[in-house]
Amino acid sequence: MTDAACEAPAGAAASLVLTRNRLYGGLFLLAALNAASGAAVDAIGDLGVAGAVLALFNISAVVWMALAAGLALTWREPDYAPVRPLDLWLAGAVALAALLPVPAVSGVMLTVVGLHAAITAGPGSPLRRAAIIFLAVSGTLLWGKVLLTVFTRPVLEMDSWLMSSLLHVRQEGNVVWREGGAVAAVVSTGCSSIHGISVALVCWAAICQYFAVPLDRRSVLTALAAVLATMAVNMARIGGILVSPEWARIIHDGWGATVSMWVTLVLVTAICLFGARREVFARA
Amino acid sequence: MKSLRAPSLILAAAVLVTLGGKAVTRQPPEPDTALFTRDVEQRLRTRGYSVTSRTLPSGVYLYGARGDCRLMVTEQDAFGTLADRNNQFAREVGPLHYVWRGRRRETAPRAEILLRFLVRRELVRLGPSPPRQPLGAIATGPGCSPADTAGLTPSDLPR
Repeated sequence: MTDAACEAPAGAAASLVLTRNRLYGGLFLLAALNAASGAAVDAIGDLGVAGAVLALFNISAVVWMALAAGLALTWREPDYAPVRPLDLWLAGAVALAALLPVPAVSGVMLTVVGLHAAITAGPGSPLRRAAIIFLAVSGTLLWGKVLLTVFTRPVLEMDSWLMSSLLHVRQEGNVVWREGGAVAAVVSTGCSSIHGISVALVCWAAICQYFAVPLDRRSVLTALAAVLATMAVNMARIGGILVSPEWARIIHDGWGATVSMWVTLVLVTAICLFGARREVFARA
Repeated sequence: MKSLRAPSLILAAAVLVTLGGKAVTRQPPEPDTALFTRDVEQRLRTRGYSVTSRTLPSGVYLYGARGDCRLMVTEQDAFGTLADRNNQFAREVGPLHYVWRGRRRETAPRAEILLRFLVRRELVRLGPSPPRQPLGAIATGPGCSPADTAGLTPSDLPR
């Protein structure tokens, strides 16, 4: 079932209506912040409050940008579909999940409300577009981590195989090394491309949905380019460790990691904006 | 937008209350693998093994020698990330087996150890700190008998 065309209530009545858009905007925000709270608690524990704030609570800047884009769609765009009874039940479920001390439960609820909103809102409506953004956010806050947890070895072996094929290094399982090299790198969950890919998809979803880019060949190629750019930067980082093992700590944990994060961020954002340039300039 | 003040206030209150509740939870610490290494090293020395070690970013590998028996002991993580690396090092010594909660296994347990790890991690967030059960990986040379490796790794560790 999708939304019928909804007309704006006249005059002052417009401000008296809690619309589905606004209700779901609140639910998305509550569920997303609670799903992200585990990373935030870890960031505060590792870096202190000031350090955690500067590190954006260990949540990618792309995810914060996507939250803002999704909320802007639900709170600013005119859409007056009234709240349905099932929406209120879902609101209660999101609130209950948020009260639980396990952030992953809110991640699951973000997916549930995102799917419900995406299915029941009208095609191209602000609510459906926002729901798609928040579904992508749930992918990076929860499902990417679940995938890595449940399928750790196959995922890491695939990452390592790609590195081995492209960098021409030896590989066994998730261990890669240069022929005759002094060190081998164990590709662990922190080195996997999966997290970067999920963030690239959030960026793509946020820009495409905010600027109402149609899902066509151009859009799919943009997503593919963003994913490939993320993987290329990650492989360059691991490759750097194999080529210059004396720099391993700096490349893996120090400023090398910071540089690769920002290069990825700029590349992915630039690729997604370039793919959506028509719609971006049309809106400007 | 005057009438939307109430829903906005409810949302703000819900965000504050739920995030406030999460803020008082603890950050689960990483498993303290040094505890495992110290415990195993002590057990090996108590049994008369001469002990050497190899320390790498991926972990510490303890090597014991007593008579004809040569063995290697290390801890394997719950996710199995180190399994391939441990296999590579084990080849220098002999076949690899695993010990978890005092039981010898020929292959590394996967689902049950991961489930326990994740449940414990969430419990630590809430306050209780149940002991963790490390997975020991032991490679033995041809001169070792099963009795040489029995009880070499701890079943429980506090962190």
